[in-house]
Amino acid sequence: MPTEQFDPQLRRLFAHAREPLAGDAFLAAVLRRVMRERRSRYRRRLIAAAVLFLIACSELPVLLAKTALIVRFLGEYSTTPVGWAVSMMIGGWVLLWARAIARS
Amino acid sequence: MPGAQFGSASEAVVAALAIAGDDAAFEELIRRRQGAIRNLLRRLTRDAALADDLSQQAFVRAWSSIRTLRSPSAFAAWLRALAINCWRQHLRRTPQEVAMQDTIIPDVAAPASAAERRDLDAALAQLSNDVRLCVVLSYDEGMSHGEISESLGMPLGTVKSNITRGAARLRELLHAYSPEEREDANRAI
Repeated sequence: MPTEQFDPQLRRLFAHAREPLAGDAFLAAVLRRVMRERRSRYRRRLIAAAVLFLIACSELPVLLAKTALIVRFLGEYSTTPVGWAVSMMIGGWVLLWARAIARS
Repeated sequence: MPGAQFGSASEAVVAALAIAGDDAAFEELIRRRQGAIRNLLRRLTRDAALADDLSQQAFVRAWSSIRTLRSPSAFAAWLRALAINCWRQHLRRTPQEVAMQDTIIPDVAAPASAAERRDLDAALAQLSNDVRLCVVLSYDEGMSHGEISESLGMPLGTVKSNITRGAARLRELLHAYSPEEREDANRAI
């Protein structure tokens, strides 16, 4: 016994029920909706970019102040013996890395 | 002539172009698939205007997310799944009227296909949503039970049971279209 049996009468009815549908008006309607969706998407991106810009502007003074603090700390630290040793290690690593690139 | 540039290119080729951002290719996909999607949704909704509205939603979603489609050859199945999702979301949003049990389906088969369509749609409306969906995907879309189960995320046993029950109910409601009853009707004339 076949695992899937179809009633031929119902199949015939379904086949007859399928109607040829003119597509031009439908296509035009879909394209209008796509245009609206496109404009809506563009507006959302513009708003998101504006919000990010505003956040960045409001946070910028704090960001600059913290960056200045870090730079000042590093500058003072590097004049100590430990700071000098760390600087040498970083310099040595950079040289090795540059040599490896030159060899390749 | 619209679509002439794609000639007889396979749907997979056109879909690949649409995925890459070719708007003309996407329009061609709409032209090729609009009939099948609209007919599917007409069988499910019994409302031509609603079916067209849901079909348009499905195509707009397809346009929005076509770049997520990994396999161009799977476009037809993917689009059908989008259309069914649109229908299911519509069902969740809209309080459903229970199909009138006494909706008249004539005892005599109608000769013209428009009337056959009307009688079939009236009979389908008397099935529950899940049963109707399984029957339509099986009889109208020609999908196998396994394909329907995978597409809907429904257990295979449930799909088979829905189709069996749905087909039996449709046969009962549309008895006027059975060959024996048609013969009797013809003899009576």
